[in-house]
Amino acid sequence: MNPPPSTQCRLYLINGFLGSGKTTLIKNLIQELQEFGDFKVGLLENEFGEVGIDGMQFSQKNLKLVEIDNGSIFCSCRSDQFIEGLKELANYKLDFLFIESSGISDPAPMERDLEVVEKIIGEVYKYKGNLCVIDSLNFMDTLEVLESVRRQVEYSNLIILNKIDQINFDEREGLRKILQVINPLVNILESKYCKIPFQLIQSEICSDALPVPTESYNSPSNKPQKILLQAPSNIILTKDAFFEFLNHFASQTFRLKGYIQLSEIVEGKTVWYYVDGVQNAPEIAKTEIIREKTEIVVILDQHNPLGEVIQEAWGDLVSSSQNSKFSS
Amino acid sequence: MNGKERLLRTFNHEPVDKVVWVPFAGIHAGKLKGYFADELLTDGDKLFESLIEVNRLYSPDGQPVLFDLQIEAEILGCGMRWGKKAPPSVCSHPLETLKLVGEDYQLPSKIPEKTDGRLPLVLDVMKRMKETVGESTALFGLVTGPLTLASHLRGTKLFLDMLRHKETSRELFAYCVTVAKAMISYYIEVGMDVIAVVDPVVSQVSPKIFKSLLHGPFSEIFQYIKTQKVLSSFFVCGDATKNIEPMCHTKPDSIFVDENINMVEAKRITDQFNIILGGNIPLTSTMLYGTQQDNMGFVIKLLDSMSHKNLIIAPGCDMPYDIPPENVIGAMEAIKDPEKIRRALETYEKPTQEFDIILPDYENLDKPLIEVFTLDSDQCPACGYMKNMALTAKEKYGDRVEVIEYKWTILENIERTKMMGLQHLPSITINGKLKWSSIIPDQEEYFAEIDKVL
Repeated sequence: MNPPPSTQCRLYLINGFLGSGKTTLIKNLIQELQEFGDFKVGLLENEFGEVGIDGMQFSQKNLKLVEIDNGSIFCSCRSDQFIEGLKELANYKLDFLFIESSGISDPAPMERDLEVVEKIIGEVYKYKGNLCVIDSLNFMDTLEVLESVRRQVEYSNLIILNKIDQINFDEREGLRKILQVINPLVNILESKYCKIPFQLIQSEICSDALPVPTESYNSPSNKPQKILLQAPSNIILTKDAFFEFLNHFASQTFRLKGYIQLSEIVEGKTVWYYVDGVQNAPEIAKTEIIREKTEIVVILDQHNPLGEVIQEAWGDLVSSSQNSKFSS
Repeated sequence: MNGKERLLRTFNHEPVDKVVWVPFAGIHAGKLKGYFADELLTDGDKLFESLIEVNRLYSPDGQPVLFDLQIEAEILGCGMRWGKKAPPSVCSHPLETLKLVGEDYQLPSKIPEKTDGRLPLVLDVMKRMKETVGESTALFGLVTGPLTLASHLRGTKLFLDMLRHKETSRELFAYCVTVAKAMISYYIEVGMDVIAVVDPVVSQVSPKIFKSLLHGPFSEIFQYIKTQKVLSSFFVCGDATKNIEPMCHTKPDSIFVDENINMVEAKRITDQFNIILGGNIPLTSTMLYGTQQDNMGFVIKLLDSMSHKNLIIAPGCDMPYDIPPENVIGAMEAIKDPEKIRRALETYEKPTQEFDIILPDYENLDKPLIEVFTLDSDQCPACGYMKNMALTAKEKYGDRVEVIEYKWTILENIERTKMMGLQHLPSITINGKLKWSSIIPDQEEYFAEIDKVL
């Protein structure tokens, strides 16, 4: 495993409901990092009465653990403690930092808090994404009760479907479909005991997951531009028009990814497509997933002046389709 | 119109001269007097002293007496872990090991009494606050909401119980309602004007679950408060966007939210129910780590973005311990006199005229020069106290020292403040060097500094 290319500490958020396997995943990742490299690893725990990683057997040599006191209950007003924890860990020149969040915490404010940290102490951390660990057996139940569980999936950059051996094939397919509806843009890895090579996580993690342009207080100027192109469910674009749009702009993008409803009638239904690609080679494939609306994330270089042009062209495309819309 | 009258009129949906201001200084109150959270929340005298300082510096229309959601949990057997800059945490849950299947289980029946836990301290401080500032400030008594209390008692298992053992969850919530009613009756007895039911965990549950399991308990609590002829409030923090409307259906008089909620959108909903909405100055990015101008700017933007009817400005939730007092003072000034602050902010950000300001030659002064920089000492109480303290030097030293005040709301003084490199107001400098910012020195300390340069 190669060391990080820069002096920045790679930071991963680990989300998931109580008992999903977050702690096991972190334990496995830390062990792997300690076995295969001389990495300095940090762990920030923000727990909700769960059994932490504290008692586990690790080599303490290169591990720095900070447990923050968030008042036990979920409370966003304690994010000052979270920020203080990150400030403290910044002194240790870590290679990797894992943040184990509370089982019912909402990851959205956490990402916002990271921006505050960057403002205070500079670019010490390189945020790599939010790993959402899911207990395959209990996910549907917790989803029904907790809005925060839905948001953990929505804001994730990689989903780990854990305890996969405890559900059957049909349940697994059903679960995958639901996860893809909540967050169509991330990859899903399956596991039994959260035993996933870190390299696989690094390669599968998606850096541009939905929901994208969340309002933030201080957008760092070095981030790539993210544009969200949307069309309501009653607007169905024609295949030709959409392909023309793609041909025109795809080469200007870092990446584009999303779901789109196109006008191709199959058994009386319109067809949903999944588009995913890097620059000149976006792949488009039919999908059975039906979304509430067309949604595509476009990532551009921060200095690319075409952001507004693309949005304008998309607006024209949508309104021309609106004028010629048909009912399926 | 004093602050309490302003708040009562707002709750009565009547017009007021200014938007109501309720700074949630819980543990932050301790910072003003140099006490950590664990001292503050266990020592009635220190708590009272700190709350009086909040009242003096931040001039609140409404003020919570204690922001600690662990009071009930501690009495009911939860383990506590104390911290220096945060309220205590619950670290063990008495019902966590309760097995709901296969055996007879017993839910607790203990109802807190006035002599239990820290309640004697809390009730005593409430009484003293009522006697001291109760005529001019509306006092908030905070009780823990049934969902948060139930999660303190049961731990995270509660969330699966809510789906798999609905009846048991209902019983547990009913118990928590009884606890809340007892607490409310005690708080009303010592004169609390508003009872706030604080339940941050509400933001984490789905609207479906809220409607099926929590609508009843919360409605019962708010109905009970109404029958006691006291005002009510529903505090939530976190992204409770989807639960704002279900919360309105439980009929509180007011709802307070934090920065995770879009106030404009939330107010559209609360206005439909004629419910007061309070919030939502961001606690961390603006209040803790922002500048005084950021806080003023946020408040002005908030005030400009919606109707002032049924509106209260407040921090999003319990303020972090270390918030610089000048940031709270900045927010307060923007609420009290938005037009003046708006003009000053415009000048601060984009000066439209040049002022010919020459700073004194601080190295070669004839006598010690004490300069007090205030936002506006006629309006801002903290600035007034700072100015009065500065002036005591004239009483003691007479013509041997010079004391000058610069008000930030006079435009040329903005430039002077910048030239002096001052970030926070009110401040006192002696011979051009910053000595105190926001925290007013005591007289002994103040005179000692002057003696050094005489």
